[in-house]
Amino acid sequence: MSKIPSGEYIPMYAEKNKKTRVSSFWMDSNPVTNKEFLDFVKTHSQWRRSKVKSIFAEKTYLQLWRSDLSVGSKRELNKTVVQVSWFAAQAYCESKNKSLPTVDQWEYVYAEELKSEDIRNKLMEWTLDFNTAMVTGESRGDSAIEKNLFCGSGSLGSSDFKNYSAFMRFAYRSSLKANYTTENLGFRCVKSEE
Amino acid sequence: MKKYFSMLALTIIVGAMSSVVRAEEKAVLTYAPEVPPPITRTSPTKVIVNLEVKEVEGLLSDGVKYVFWTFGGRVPGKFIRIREGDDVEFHLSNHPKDKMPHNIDLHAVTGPGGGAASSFTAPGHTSTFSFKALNSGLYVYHCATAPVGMHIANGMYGLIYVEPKEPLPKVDHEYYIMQGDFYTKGAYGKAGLQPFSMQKALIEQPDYVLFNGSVGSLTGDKAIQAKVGETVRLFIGNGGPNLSSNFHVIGEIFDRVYQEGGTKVNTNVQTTIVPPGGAAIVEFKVEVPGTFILVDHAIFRTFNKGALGMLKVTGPENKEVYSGKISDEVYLPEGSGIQVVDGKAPPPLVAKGKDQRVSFGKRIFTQNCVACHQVDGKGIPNAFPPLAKSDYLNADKERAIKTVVKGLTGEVLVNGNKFNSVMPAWTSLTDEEIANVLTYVYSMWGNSGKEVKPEEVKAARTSK
Repeated sequence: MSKIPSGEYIPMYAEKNKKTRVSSFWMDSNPVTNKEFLDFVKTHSQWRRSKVKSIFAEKTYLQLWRSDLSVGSKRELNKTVVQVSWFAAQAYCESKNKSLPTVDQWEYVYAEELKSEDIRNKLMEWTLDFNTAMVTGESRGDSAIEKNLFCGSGSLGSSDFKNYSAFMRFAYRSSLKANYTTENLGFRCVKSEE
Repeated sequence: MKKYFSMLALTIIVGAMSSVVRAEEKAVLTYAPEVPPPITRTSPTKVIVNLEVKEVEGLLSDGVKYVFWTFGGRVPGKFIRIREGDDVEFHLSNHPKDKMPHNIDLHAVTGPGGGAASSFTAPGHTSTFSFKALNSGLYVYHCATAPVGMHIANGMYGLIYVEPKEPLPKVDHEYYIMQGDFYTKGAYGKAGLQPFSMQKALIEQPDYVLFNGSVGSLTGDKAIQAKVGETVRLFIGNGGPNLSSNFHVIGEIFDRVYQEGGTKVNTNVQTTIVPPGGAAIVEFKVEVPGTFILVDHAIFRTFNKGALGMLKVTGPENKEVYSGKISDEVYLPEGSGIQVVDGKAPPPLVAKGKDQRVSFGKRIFTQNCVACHQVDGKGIPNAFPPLAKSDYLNADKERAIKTVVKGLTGEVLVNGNKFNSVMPAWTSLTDEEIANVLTYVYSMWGNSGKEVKPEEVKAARTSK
């Protein structure tokens, strides 16, 4: 894990230059791998593919794996685990006395780094409160629903690619439900400062 | 288009207790330029539409790759045809390999977001909603997921036609053409996988303005066809995101235009404007044979940014309608616009050897020369000289290079025919590009096979 020092950042949805304070915390340096998740389901059988309850994970849960306790080729072991639901990801983190990062924690660390990245080439990651800032799907109307939290036109009117890239991440998160297990979504865990 | 009739899956479900017949059918969807067959029903029914969103790598132009976001795998999205009063059950699926959530706003829908609010779909999921087609007309559909402009700029649009209760008269051919503008990091024609440019989209300066999603989608073998005396109906849409289309067919007059895709008919129209998120239906009868060029009459878009299609009409001449002589007023092509590139674009290609020169040159020829000299190099009689077996071309290589570099105005004699026209100076092409395109031209159509080197082009620039 890496220690993330406390600080401030400007969330994508904030009013102009309104900063949000983020306390220091520890964060996994890399997303959780297939190997790590395999070790978890070995000891937590309720999260195996054949055992998982459908309200916690839809039917594509870990479908890229060969079986309940086999990932497939060795090469796959070190890749980021995908097709895990929010429930499964959070259960994994809790088993390590950790938690999924909040949107603020995740964005605080990565927004700057990803500002010039085309996130279409990147895996997305679960966040603890992924569904708090909702893009309704009819995103053009969002500004009227929750003006302070979401201003679609404001973001689109911006030439700042950072905001633009962030907007895509927020739209992506809003399309998710906690039992979804998509192929483009991994996760990592965080721990608060003791 | 008769082949589609057999594909119409019609299921009749008979209620067990009564004689009420509730019909249900699956909509036939087609890729551009095809249009689903006219609806023969005389009453409304329930129609099931299945549409799959797919993010796919495709070609903007020969050698220019782009990751398109599509309704059905291509740009524009599949054409949907229903009837006024139909109850439509719409299933929008988002392919599991896709990276983004998507939705659909159909302008034919009466309801919040045109369906967008009910169809927001994560990758690997399907959303279902239904609507009643209250209004007839030709409507655009598009993705409305944030960032909306980017989803549309990546190709997420198509047309849905709601046939009126009294259908339009039968025609011999129906075709589907949709315009869109595209924004890439590299300038027009620069090869390689081109990323989307948000900056260019914001200032509304596209590198490509295209019919049906790629340069050449409606030219050569892919041109739409008709025979002399036949009637043609074009369903024209514009996805934008930014530019209005000034749709025109060179050498034709639209007998009828259903303005903005609605009910009102205008007659004898030369150019009809189609705004982003708008449509039009145009009808005309073809009277004489020849190739009719489909353009956006904001004409730089046609000759420099790709918005060029062709309608090929075959059949007997009609000298009374058209004598066969082409006037000097045909649109002149000019060098591709100078565009500032922002961000990283792939480096320019440098040909290694003659074979590569020929293959790179073909791309440049397709992008810049085809409009006048034609795909087969035969030109257009009395207007644009032939390059195929051209004595003028083969006799003097230096002169040929100079013609491309500096342009040529005035009378020339090519294969015994006089031409008095203008060839613009191709100032936008590099030495390498001119060497490649000329080497390609020399390698084709029975020409002398000479190779032109960039050094020779450079020398021609400085010589008198």
